[in-house]
Amino acid sequence: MLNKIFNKRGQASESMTWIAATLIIIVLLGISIYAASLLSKLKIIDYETEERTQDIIMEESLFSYFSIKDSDVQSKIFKSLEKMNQEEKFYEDFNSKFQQIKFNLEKNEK
Amino acid sequence: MIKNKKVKHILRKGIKEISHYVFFPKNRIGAEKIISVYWFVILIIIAGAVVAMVSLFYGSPYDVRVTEANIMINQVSNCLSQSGELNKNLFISENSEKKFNENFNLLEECNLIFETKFENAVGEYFLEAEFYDLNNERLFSISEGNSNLKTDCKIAEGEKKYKRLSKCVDREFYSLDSENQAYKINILSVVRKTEKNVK
Repeated sequence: MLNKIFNKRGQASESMTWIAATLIIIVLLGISIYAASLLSKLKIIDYETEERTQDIIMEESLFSYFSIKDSDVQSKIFKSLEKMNQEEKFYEDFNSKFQQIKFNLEKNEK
Repeated sequence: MIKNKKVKHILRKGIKEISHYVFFPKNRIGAEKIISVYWFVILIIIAGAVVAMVSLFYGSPYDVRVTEANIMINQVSNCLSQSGELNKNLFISENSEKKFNENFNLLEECNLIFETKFENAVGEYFLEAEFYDLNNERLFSISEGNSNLKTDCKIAEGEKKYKRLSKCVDREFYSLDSENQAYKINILSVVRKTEKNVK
């Protein structure tokens, strides 16, 4: 009689192990599916934060800045460009591009 | 005769177990079958989960509307102004007076095509270029595309949650005309294409 009772306990604990293992597998899979759905929402290509080597808009402004002969207008435009730079409206480093264009124009003049 | 009680008990238990497997061999096979079915079910669950994960991740499209709007701005700025000088077609002379050309076709001049694959699409793009003098006075503007999209920009300004609305990019630059007069040009580019970019 006692033997039968002990056997049943053994069977119960073994099936509990299986159930627990199954639950762990299901929970882990659930977490993975949730993580995949969260990651899928982050699929946005951000033009501004991507590393850019060129900003055509900024270069256009710089070319016109260097072409202007009137110094008042030139300083007005430079102030505006600096303000835009502070507001992080450019996708490329403003100061380095400024120096680069200045250097190239001076080199061409020579 | 075996007198030791412990040995007797072990022997009896052994005989009982052997006789159980001899007389009821199907019970063992049944247990194995149940376990193999269990493994099969677990295998299906795991495979299903992997398929779900892959389809969830690769099923949602990349949102490239901001990039597309920026590319359009680059294209427009490149055709309106080259190396800091405005396109000559932007101006016409009437009675020896220089004026902005009202018939300047942005699509033709900038080689843009606004047609889309969608049959019911009303217009997925909007482009506007506004010309200001250095005192910020608006002088002239040209636009192309679906102007209704412009309202989306005001609603969705700075809000990430309105992802189903159109994406707007607004940029400004300076350029000169042939008489060395400076203009500030503001370009607004709007792309809807929600069906292709947002799930």
